[in-house]
Amino acid sequence: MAETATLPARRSPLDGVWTPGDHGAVGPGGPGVTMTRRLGLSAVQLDARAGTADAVRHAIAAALGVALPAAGHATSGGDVRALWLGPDRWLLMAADGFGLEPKLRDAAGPAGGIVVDQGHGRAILRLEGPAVRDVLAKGTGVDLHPRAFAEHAVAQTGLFHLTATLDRRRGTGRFDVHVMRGFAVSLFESLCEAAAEYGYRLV
Amino acid sequence: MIFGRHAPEQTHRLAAGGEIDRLRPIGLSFDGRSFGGYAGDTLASALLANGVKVVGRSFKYHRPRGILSAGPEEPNALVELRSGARREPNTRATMVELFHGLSATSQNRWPCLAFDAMEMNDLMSRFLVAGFYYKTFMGFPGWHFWEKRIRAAAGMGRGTVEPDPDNYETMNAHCDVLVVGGGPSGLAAALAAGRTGARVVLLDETDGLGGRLRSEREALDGAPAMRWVESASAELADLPDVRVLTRTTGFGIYDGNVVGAVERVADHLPVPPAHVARQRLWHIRPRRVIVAAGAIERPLVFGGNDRPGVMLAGAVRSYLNRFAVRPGSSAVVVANNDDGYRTALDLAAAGVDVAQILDTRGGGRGAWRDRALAAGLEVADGHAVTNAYGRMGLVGCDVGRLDGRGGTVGDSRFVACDLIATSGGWTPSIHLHSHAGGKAEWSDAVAAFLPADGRPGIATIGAAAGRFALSDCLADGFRTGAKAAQACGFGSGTAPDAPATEETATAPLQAIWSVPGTPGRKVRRFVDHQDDVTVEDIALAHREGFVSVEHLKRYTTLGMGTDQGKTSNVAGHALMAEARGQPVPVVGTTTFRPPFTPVAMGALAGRAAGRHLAPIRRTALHDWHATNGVVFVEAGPWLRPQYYLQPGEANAKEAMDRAITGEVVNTRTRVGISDVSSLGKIDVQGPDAAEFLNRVYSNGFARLPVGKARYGLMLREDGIVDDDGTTSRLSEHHFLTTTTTVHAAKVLADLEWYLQVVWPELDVRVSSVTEQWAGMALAGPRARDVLAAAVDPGTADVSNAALPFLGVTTTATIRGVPVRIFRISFSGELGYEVNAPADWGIEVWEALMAAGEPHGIRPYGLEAMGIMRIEKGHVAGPELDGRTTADDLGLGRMTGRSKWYVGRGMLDKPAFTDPDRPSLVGLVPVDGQTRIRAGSILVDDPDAATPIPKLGHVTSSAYLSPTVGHPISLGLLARGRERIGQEVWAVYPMRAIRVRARVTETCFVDPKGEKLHG
Repeated sequence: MAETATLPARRSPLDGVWTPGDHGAVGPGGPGVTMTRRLGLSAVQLDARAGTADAVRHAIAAALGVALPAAGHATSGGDVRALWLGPDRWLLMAADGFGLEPKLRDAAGPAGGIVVDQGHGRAILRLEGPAVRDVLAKGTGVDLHPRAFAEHAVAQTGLFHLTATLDRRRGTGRFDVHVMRGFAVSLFESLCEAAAEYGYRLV
Repeated sequence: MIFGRHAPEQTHRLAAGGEIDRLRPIGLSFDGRSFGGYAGDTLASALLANGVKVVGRSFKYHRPRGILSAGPEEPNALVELRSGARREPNTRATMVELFHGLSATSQNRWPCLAFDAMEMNDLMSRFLVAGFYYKTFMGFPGWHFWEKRIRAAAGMGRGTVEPDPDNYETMNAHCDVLVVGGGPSGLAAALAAGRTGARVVLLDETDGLGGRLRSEREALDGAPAMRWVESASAELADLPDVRVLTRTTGFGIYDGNVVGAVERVADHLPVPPAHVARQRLWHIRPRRVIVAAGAIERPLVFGGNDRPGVMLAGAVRSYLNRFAVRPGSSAVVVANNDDGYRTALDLAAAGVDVAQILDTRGGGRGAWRDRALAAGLEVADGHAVTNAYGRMGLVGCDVGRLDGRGGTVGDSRFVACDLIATSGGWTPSIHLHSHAGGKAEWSDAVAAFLPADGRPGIATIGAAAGRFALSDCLADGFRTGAKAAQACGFGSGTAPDAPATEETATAPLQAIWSVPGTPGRKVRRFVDHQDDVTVEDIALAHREGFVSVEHLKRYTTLGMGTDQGKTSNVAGHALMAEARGQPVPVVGTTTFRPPFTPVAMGALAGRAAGRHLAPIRRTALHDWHATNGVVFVEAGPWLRPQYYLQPGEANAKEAMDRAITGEVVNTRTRVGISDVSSLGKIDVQGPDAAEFLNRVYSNGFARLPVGKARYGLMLREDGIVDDDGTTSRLSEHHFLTTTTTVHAAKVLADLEWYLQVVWPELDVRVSSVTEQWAGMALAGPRARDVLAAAVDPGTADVSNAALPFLGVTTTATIRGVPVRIFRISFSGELGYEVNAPADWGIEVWEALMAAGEPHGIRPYGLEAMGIMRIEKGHVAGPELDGRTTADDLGLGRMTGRSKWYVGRGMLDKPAFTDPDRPSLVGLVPVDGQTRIRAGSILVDDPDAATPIPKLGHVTSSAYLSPTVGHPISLGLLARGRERIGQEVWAVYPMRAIRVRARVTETCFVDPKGEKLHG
């Protein structure tokens, strides 16, 4: 990969539709949902080949300081967040400047890990606010109550018409929503329609 | 229209009481006349307050009808609500909350409600019996002529044909305990469960909680019962994990005890507020369901029981107590249970003259009866109404003494009245229990079916279980709520203390399914008001052999209206049982199916309408196309460029033709660029990756060198061609496989299947990277010049020697962006595919456009791409139609016999080696100008006697190949290779088109492929 400094800025698939400010029925208490695009994030898929999961787990913990999560969960460690995606498959994320992909390749490759860069293939939205559960509940059948979907819970599920990954972050009512890049505008439109009655803010 | 000002006095409004807000008057219009009502009214209560008696015409006989009920069971008072795009037919006036400017119209009458031309049907009723239409009109010519007129005469309301201006949406909810119904049973259940900390959802279809308590003069703990309702509601509102949904009907229980509910978010408002949906469909996934849906009262079946002014006794109490409306001035009460006395006492308390209480029972005992007598009311034991009079509003009725054997004793006498309150007992609402497959068990005491043996996790309580006493309802609720919460891990299961009731003991009811008519008079006794089914229709069905309840339903339409027989099914089935001389449980009942009440299609569709019918997928280059004259076309979920208009050009056919031809010519003579991001891209890694690909592709991949691409063919397990694409070897254990746009997801799923199930021993991982990379196809004689100028110096050598045909380089950068370059071509020109990480896709595309400017680069769309691939004879979706073999497509050389792969075992079956199989050929019009449409059938002689033997069909068509100067097509033709040079007919019978076509080779341009390698 070329020097990061020489690279042009990344474009978000939502550049054409993202109008910062308050929208919908924002009440005196402020918007029900605040949406932020999580830009400048590298996201790399890590697979452990058959029989190498433990070795990969150890290698990643040693090199990046993050423990790969169990099914249905996410973990944070060092500068990295890791999401469980499937049996022996995770998504790791870090800021672009971190050099995640080469670090992963170096750390996991010898242990049996397979690394696939996916950072440009998905859009990540952060949703937070008092109405966030109701907004998401309009599009997904996953139970988002704190008892059922605690902090650092992860689900890959249907959201409106689409497949999305839900990552419950620390704090009440804060979720990161991952969607395939090509469907980002469709999902964004559905989220805005769902959020309009509570009022929403685009940061 | 000015509402209120010219509205008549609310002549039937009580001076005090009720839930209405007399400080908030609301005007409404019904059939163009203005009336006044108050906040808290329904349309029905407001019309009654204004003395309106007739609100509709019946379905079949067009008899004037009034308001029978005060709830969701209403069979008569169906109106068209609102107008224009929001016009909604068959709304029940009893469920429509009053809002400012409400406008409603009666339906099923012409020209007006007071005079309806179709009322002649009523005079002809002795001919228009059940089954009349079929007996009369079917079997002789012209049924379809009559059918239209019959349907028009038996009309329901009219929907709108305009698009719905409002939004609907879907909501998911989860809870420990779901309580359906907010009456005393449901409230108690929700309280008991909610107090334990369990997650509770409580539904009620009306605008507030309380259920029957809103309509009765009951006391709890020595105070009016609604005080308790208010404090219970307040307590529920304070519990953090309890959600109360009013105006929400739980309409069905589905698999896994998922409950469907529809919330009428804004139906009580003139128009929905901005950003708010009109209705919301709830999918509720509870761990325990408590059905506290209450019960529905049945009218007695007597002569003239459909006259405007005959009303359910419970509804009379609702109008008196909840809405402060006198439904009449002088009432006769007729009942087979103690609710007659209760109703008469409420009427008397509201100042309505009670002419007589008729108790069909002869016993003459009971505490309620004593209370009525003590209040000075006149009671006639063993009496009933034998006929009611008053076409446009009740004027009186005949009263006769029952002989207990289906007849009367002595003369009947006429009693003047304008209201008959009638009760034939209450039918528990076991619908949800039944939806879940629960059994129904007949109870003689209740004279209705009760819930029995239900699905685990569902409890039906209170009146819905036939336990009508308030104390029983409260006890059921508290006990069941606590138990349900405990089952979910909350609380001890101990029921909280219930408030004290002050109830009068009730005497048993005595079922009477039809009341004999006044002797000497022909009476019309309606069982099903909405569908105009009479006692005589049921007798007819029995005589003609339709004796099962399912046949009875379909023959007479009993229970088939929008009310689904809520007030009529039990009596109808009991009458059939009487006719058969068997007990009701032997005759049985029809099956309840969701929904409990009608649900708007809009609510079921939710947001998945219009542009959200399906999601749209945009490529990483979308925003560039959108600002550069593109016309998009849908390709599966993708929006892809179809062609590009020049600046200022309107999208007319000439401009389109010019654009497409220009794009082809420019690519063939100079250089073009197109967006191929939607092609499926699958990352294949692992030590066994080469072996894996060698097994899924029919041609060899085991020895593909690093840095090389190869065209590959995948077969289905039955040997038919599945998909095609290129696969490149990026490193020893790392491949990139591409698929067609359409098959991307399926191919990935197939690969996962082979890895997980068929060959788990292979150490390979596959992942979709379609969205990670923006794909651009650079094609044309000057493509290399453009690429060489765009690639950052020193990062890659793209010369013919360094990057020959099917070469791959991963070292290049363009404007600093790392790209993958594949020398492959779909157009037949010197071509490259450049993949760039998607967020930099537009940067790289613009770099290529800038580098190509001196060479005359133009973007080209799917139309130009399609023409160029037909010119080259390349197969695509229309040829890979799930019926063609590699041999059919001229790709037989790609199905080697020296290795095993998916589908190989089927290749030698006789059907695949039949020499008569169609094979791919080119087709050109003999006249050199007529287009040969895709879908045309190929025949030898279109004038031969039918059936004309089919030789094949046209798969793909270019209406003009700019390169060869005339239309060209591809087709599948029997023994096609042998026919090259011969002529066939291409016929298109749908448009009466026939074209003489010459069979040619499939490749029309550069058959030796010199351009590719140059």
